[in-house]
Parts: sequence; C-alpha cells; structure tokens
Amino acid sequence: MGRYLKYGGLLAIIVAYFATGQSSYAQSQAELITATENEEVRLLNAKKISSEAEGVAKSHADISVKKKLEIAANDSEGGDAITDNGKKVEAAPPTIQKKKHKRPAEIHSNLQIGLATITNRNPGKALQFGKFTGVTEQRVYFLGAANIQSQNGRSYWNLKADDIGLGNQSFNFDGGTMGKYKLHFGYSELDNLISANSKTPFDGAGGGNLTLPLGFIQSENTTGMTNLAASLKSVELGTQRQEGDVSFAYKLDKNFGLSFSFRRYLKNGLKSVGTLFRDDNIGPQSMILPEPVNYHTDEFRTGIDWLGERSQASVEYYYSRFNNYDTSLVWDNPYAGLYPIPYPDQGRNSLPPDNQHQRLTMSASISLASATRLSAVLERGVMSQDETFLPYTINSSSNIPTPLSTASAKARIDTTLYKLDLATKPLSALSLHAGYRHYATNNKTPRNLYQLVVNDSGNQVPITSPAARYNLPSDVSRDQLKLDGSYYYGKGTTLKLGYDRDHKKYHYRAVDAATDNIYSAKLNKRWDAGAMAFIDLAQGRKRSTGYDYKRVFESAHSAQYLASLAPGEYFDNLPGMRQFDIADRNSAHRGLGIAMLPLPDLTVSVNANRDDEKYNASQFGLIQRNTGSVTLDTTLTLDDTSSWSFYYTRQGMKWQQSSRAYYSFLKATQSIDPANDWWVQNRDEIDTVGINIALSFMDDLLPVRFSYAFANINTDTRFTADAASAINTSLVNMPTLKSERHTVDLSGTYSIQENMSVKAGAMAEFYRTKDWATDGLPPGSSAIPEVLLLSGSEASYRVLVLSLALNYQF
Amino acid sequence: MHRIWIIAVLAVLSCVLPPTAQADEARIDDAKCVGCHKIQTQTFKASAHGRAFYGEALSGCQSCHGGGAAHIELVGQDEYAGPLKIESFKNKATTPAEKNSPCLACHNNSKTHAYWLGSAHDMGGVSCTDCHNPHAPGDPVRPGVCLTCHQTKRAQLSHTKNPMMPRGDGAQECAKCHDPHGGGKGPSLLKAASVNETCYGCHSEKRGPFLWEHAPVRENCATCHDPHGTANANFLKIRPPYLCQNCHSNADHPSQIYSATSLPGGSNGAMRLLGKSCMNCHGLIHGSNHPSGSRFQR
Repeated sequence: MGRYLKYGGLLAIIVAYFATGQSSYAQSQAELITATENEEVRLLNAKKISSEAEGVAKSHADISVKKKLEIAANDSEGGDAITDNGKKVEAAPPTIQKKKHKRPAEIHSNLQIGLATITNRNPGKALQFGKFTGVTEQRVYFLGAANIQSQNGRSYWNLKADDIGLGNQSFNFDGGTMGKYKLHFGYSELDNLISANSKTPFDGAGGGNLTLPLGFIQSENTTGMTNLAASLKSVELGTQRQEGDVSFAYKLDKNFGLSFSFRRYLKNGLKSVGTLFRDDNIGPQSMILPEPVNYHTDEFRTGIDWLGERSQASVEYYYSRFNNYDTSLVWDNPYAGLYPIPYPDQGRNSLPPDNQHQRLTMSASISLASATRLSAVLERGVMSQDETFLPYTINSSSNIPTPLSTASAKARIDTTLYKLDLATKPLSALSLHAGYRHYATNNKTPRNLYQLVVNDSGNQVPITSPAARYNLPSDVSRDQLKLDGSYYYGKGTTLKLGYDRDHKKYHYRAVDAATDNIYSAKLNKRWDAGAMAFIDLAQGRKRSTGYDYKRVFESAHSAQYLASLAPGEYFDNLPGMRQFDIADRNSAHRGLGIAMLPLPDLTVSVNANRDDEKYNASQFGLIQRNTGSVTLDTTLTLDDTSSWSFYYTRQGMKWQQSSRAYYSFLKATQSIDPANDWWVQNRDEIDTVGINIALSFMDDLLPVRFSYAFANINTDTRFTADAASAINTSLVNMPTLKSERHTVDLSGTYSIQENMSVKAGAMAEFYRTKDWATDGLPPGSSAIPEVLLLSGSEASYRVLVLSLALNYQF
Repeated sequence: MHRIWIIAVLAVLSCVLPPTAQADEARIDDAKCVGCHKIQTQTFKASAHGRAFYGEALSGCQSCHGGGAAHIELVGQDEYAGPLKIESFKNKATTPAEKNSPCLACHNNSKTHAYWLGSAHDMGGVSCTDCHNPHAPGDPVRPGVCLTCHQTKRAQLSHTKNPMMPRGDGAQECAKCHDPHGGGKGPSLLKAASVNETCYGCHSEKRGPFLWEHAPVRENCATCHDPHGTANANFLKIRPPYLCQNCHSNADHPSQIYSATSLPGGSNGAMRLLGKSCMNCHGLIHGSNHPSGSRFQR
C-alpha cells in the first residue's frame, strides 16, 4: 500500500510542478558543463546524423523496435550511430567507459509458454535445487509468464504473471491514473522445502496430535525400540506460503492523498521441532517431531498524506493479526522408563500463540532552504498476546499443588520510535547530516513465579527448585546519534567523516547499559576515465556499565532457592562469561577498493574488507571475531547485446570462544579451576564465482546467454585445552564441513519473426555436502540412542533441466 | 567534540542560506527535443515519468536536462568539440549532488524521497542515475543493481539458497526490507523500526510476545542469524552447540566441550552435537508460551 501511496505522491508532485509552472530546478547549466566533454559532442553529432537519416529516408514508424533500441542506446551511450538502413556511422571511440544498458522498448505486452524437464542422476529429490521453486522431482514442468500492458494518456493498467505453475508463481495487477489513483491486486506463492528424507514412527503428521502405531515397542532409548525401523513413515518437511494483497491509493486533491491496503498470507506445511521427556542430565529422552504449520496472518494499513510546496507529512495506521489454527502439539511417548514418577504417556508442546501488532506512524519533513531538510518520524506500537495457557502438564498423574496464578501471559510490548534528521548541503560539494534516533521496547508482560512440571515428567517442582522460575520480560531502549559530513573536492575526490554513538539500556540482562562509539572515515577518488579507488576505515569502542552476573540469576529464581545455595554456587552462567551482544568490544573496519579500465570497455575492480571484533572484558564466551572478504570483479561490455562479466569472492569468518567445563555436583570447585578451560576456533571459508556471458548471433536474431556459478564452503572447528587437563586428552578436531555447488546455465532466444521468438535453455547443477551432524544418521538411527531423529543427511544431486518456451510480443 | 560543534554550526548556517535562484530563460519548446531524440521519446512515453508528463507538451525534457537553447544551437556544427551545453548526467566532473538536483527538484518533497538528503546513499555519493533509468518503462531499478556495489552481499546471496531471490536472479528483492532512499525507520536503511520488526513482517509467528522470552532473540534476530546468507543452515552465523555456548556456560552440559569424540562411535555427548544439536531438546528457542516452557523445551 505504502508503495502506491508513494508513487501517487511522487507523481502528484510532478504534475503539480508543471501545472503551476514552477521550475524548482536550479538552472545553473554553465556550472554543470565543463570543457572536457568531448565524447558528448561526438554523441551529439552521432545523434544528428542518425536523426537526419531518419528524417530524410523514411518515417520513424518504419523502424523496427530492435533498430529503435539500437539507435536509442547509441544515442545516449556514445557508440556507433546506426541509420535506418542499418549502416553504421563511425563515431569516435569513447574515451570514457560507459555502462551500456539495453533501452527498454516502448509499450508492449509479452506472453510466454513452454515446458521444462528435470532429470536427477542421483537418487532422491534435488531439494536444494528447487528449495523455493518446487522443481525437485523428475517430471515435466509448465513454464508460463505474461506481462500485458495498456496505456492511454495518464491511465494505464498492467497484468503481470511470473513463474506460472512453479512453487514461486506470482500474479499482479496494477492500474490507475497517474496523479489520481492507483489500484493493485496481487497473489503469490513461495515454497520452502526443508527435507525430503524425513521419517517418523508417528501417525497424524500435519495435525496437532501424533500417535504411535499399535504395537510400537517403547524403550528407555531408541536401541530398545525394536520395531522402530518397521514403524517409520516418510514425511516431507516444508512450508508453502500463499499471499494475497489488495491496495488502493487515491489523491483527494493536489495536497492530500489516502491509501488503504490489505494483505493476507497463509503458511502451511510441516517443520521439525525438538523436544524431550525428563531433563535430569543423565537420561534425557529426546525426539524430533513433525510440527504442524497452519498459520494465517492478516495485515491492514491505511494512511493519509499531505504534500505542500516545501514540506510533506503522513500518518499511517497498521494492524497485523497472526492466527495459528493449532494451539498445541500432543504426541505419544515412544520412550519407557520408571524415573521420574509418574512417567508420562504423552507430551504436549505449545505452538506459536495468536498475537496482534498495531502501529501508528507520523512522519513529516520540510525544506528549510534550497538544500536543507529537516525530517521527523514518531511511531508508537503495541505487540500483544493473550492466548489461554496450556496446563503445566498433560500428565494427569502429576501432582500440581500450586495451580497457575494467571490464565494467560497478558503479554504486551510497547514500542516507541522518535527519529529526527537534519541534512544540508551548504555548498554543492559539502553534505552534512545529523540524526538522532530513539527506539525502545517496553515489555509490560506481568512477572509471575511458575512452578512447572519438567517436560511432563514427574510432579510439579517445589518452590525451592532451580526449575521454579519467574518469567523475565526483557526489553531494551536504544538511542543513536549519527553525525556525517562529506566533502567533494575537485575531480571526483570525496572525503567522508562520521561519528556514531549507539547507547542501549537493558532490563533483565547482566548489564545496565552499553555504549558504542564509532568513528569512521572514507576517501573516495574517481578519475575522468572511470577508474576509482577508495579507502574506508572505522574504529569502534563499546563499553558497558553495571555488569552484574547475579542480576538475571536473582531475577529468575525464587528467594527460597537462592537461600538454599552454598557459597560459590550463586550463579547460573560463569561469572566471567559476557554474553557477546552486551559485552565490551573494540571493533575495527578496514575497506580498500580499486577499479581500473585497462581497455575502454573493460572494467576490473578489486575490493577488500576486514572487520575485527575483540571482546576485551570477556573471560569466557566469544573472545574474538574476524570477518573479511576479497572480491575480484570484471566486466567487458562490447555492445548492447554482448557482454562478459566475472567475479570471484572469497570470504573468511573466524570465531574464537572459550568456556570452562564443570558439573553441578562440583560447581563450587570446578567452576574456579582454570584447568577446566577450553577454547574453540570456528573458521568458515567460502569461495563464490559467477560468470555471465551474453553474445548475439545472426545479426542479433539469436542472443545467447551463458552463466556459471560456483560456491564452495568449508567449515573447520578446532579445539584446545590446557595440556595437563583431562579435557585435552579427549579433544579431536571436527571433520571439515563441506558444501559445493556448480551451476551452468545456457539459453538462447531466436526471433522467428519480429514479435515472436523461441527460447531454449539447458541448466545443469551439481551439489554435494558433508555434514557431521546428520551424515550416517538416518531417521531412527541408534547412533544417538537418546534422540529419536526425524531427518537424515541431505542428498547430493546432479540435475539437468531442459526448457523450451515460446515468447509472443504484441 | 569541537568537530561536532563546527558541523552543527555549519548545518544551522545552511538553513538560512537563500534558495538557489531559479531562471527559465534557457528553455526552448520541448517539441524541438523530439526532433533528434525520437527513441527516448518513445520509451519515455511508457515510463512512469512519461505518464506523469503526459499532455505537458510531450515530455518536459528540460525539467531534468536543463534549458536546451544553447544545446540546440550546436546542431549542425560538426566540427564543434566543446561542451554539449546540456545536463547529460554522465559528466564525471559533476558532483553527485548536482546530478541529483534535477531529480530532487520534484522528488525531494515526496513521501518516498523526502528523507534522501543525509541518507547513507546520499552521503556515500550515490547518484539517482547510478541505479535508476528515468526513461525506462516498468520498474526503474535494474536487476541486481544493489549487488554491483554490495559485492559481499552478492556472494552471500549466491552461496546460500535464499528466499529473497527464489529464482536466483537477485532482482530488486533488497527493497523488500531496505529503503535505499533513507525513508526507513530502522538501522541499516531498514524500512521497519528494528531488525525484529522487519523479520516479523514475514515471520509473524515469532512475534509473540511470549511468556518466556529469550532476551537476545527479543532484541535482535541478527544476534544469531545473518539473513543475507551464511555457511550454516537457517542462516545461523555459526552452528550450534558453539553458537549457544558463546552465551551459555551453566553447569553440566552447557559448559562441556563437544569435539569429534562426540560423533557416532565416540563417547557420550552426541545428543548435544548431532541432529539439531541444542535444539534436539530446546526446540522453542525463539520463545515459549507454555507455563512449563522456561527452558524452551515445551
């Protein structure tokens, strides 16, 4: 909705601008034109030659669309001019690299229909290939697309359909009269396939009640479930999103506009969720279940805009409601056991509760001078959720002496946003900006003590138990100050300096507040020939106040439990651990880039970035994080239909973290023993390659495109510990995680006649992955007897897609 | 601190500077532009600008390109080697602010572009025509235009199957979350007021609020996820259990180290490393509304 309102507003301004005859464009042309634009003169001469030829030889209407495109492109890009008869008129070679983009044609409509087949040389579905399109199985798919347009003066309509028949198909209708109204209807789908090799012994997948088949043999672990393999049934995990929306924007007059929109999206399918019985640290019994996804969300927006000559303002109201058709997931217990008593026959999980979100936004901006703008945004929002609680447990044998003190969470978070920006360009080369932003979440959910039943197993915990917990309605407020200045001096050199202050205040976290001060500088140089270089530096220093590791601990537990603790046991998390999102941190960013033009139509660029974060005050947790990337990018543009591009990016990410191993029965002594310390280093290395080649044959009747994409991901996880500690002897580095994908795509479009063409394509994709978390662990595997697994490892694939489509333009 | 004051004073001073003088002396009849620039006229007609200018003596070329009186005098001067005497938007000596000036003459006061001045892209020296083709019909932004500068994001989106680009073509999907013109309410040019409010636009089931909140989740989804793509499933920055152990070091299993000895055939600990790792048991990690769900297990 906002989009249409925006366009309506924009166009109303343009229309009003001409209707009133006001020319707000500063026509200081002499300042804009330099004596070095020789190539533009050549352009002008080319244009003149071209237009003279047009005028003398025949009328412009006789020129084919293709020729018009050529002329248009040459007209503005400085290449060879082409006359009506196709003869090239030699223009001087351009001295400046210009990106060439094929000019779109005048109003026309398109229809495309075709077929595609997919074959997979590996068994199973090519899940990753068709993750969002649904193209995973070996069969024939319909290809369809349409773009039908009509325009009459300022009135127009457009019907657009993409990927008809696939899992990401969409249909959109837009129409209206520029400056008066705009109407939109849309419908789209989007698949998200999660797993094609999942199996579960449960019946009823897709609903809220999972039952075990008659005769299923329960056991304390999966090894003892002797008929598990025979009980397994395949389930496909994945969701489909269906979305419909309608919006209408209407200009009441020159100054006022109204807008309305409604959007509904449905999400249906299955995903996985892990859950368990017991939680005694010795024998938890876990299972991965197929969780039903049966949601719908409605969104409504309405707003009014006001546009003046130098200012604008708008008010918008937003309402969103999420509905989950299932309130809980109940399942039969596949495990058997005697402890704790009473042992449950079933378990019950909560599912995402129904919730609402409302927002009122007011925004305004005003031009104080020709290049000075003051703008402000004020927004208040409320997120709320009040779904009736499930009981503490589904286990009817559990003893619940203390019932729930409230029937629902009465959960509510108020949000507040203030935003104020002042930007000015006192000189055409100098830009200044100051911005302040305040965003706060105020969590008003009431706090209560919940004496729960641990995973439907046993009786309600006593108030002295560590499992008796208060809920913690955490929230945060954020104040950001941003000061920027950039100065553009002589021949494309720009210096930009900036300062950012980011201050956050927390509730129910281990710190009161944290402030990050970031200073940045960027120097950018562009040369006339199109080459450029930049260097980009930033330095940040984040410091927190009021760190107290006991704050969250004391807020979460009952006074009776806290009073029962011995000295040295008065914490949950290690006191030396700073959670990295609130920890003190020194950060640095360095960026370097250079672009060259070794040939007039060849651009070569290299960009490198590195970000370092060091968590100075953290003894445990994330200690250091380094990320970096290098990109080589080349583009060769021969003409409007022929180009070549290549890029290679290497990314590296390194996380270093630490902790100390200790058990609850020796908490006081082990937690202070540095011999139990350990360190992990996780390193990702990712290589990405993209090649795109566009060529044209047979006098542009046969444009051909080729692309190749390659991605390779390696993840290594390494461990260290004190050489003398018992931990060190049990450490073995993880096998390398690998994922590799190659995609080759070749397509060609042959023009049968001026308004009809045939497009043929062949795409091959190869994918393989190694993942120690799932490899060798099929559903029902006894390799981890405490977990009833749902999904196995992802299948590699080698797919070939052949497609043929007919395009008709009218 | 002094620098801040200097900038503040300059900003205030700029407010009192008079608007740029506006003159219309160099204009010619727009119809004369069509004499040479016929193709631009045809494509322009089908563009949003063309519809807006419909009936205004065809095009209003000079509203953007400046008065054409000097320019048209050059027609026929084949040997002329001086400046074109027209704003072409391709002159590299022109500052981005000057290039943008014709666009902002109309768009500066619109709801969509009123916040351009001072935005990240404005301060970064981006010109409107770096991304837009004002003559073009249909969507004015070229496919993948964002990724030509944001190259690391291009790699991230490429190596991860990403719902933001279901066909893998990386068209204009960035604008679903970000407002490149600075009109967004959130950080990093986000349209919504926060990262989480952005994510809730599609993942409303995670909006809650929940009885049991996971504090870093409530504050910022990007604490654990990078929506542009990572080496791990579900856009996780690193995989569990190590991700979780960056913040959790409670007694017993959260504080233990899980190395390759916990892989199948190894010693105890596999259930915390394999399958869904920590989420084998803590499946409702985004929040739970179950009264017994304090550990995100119900």
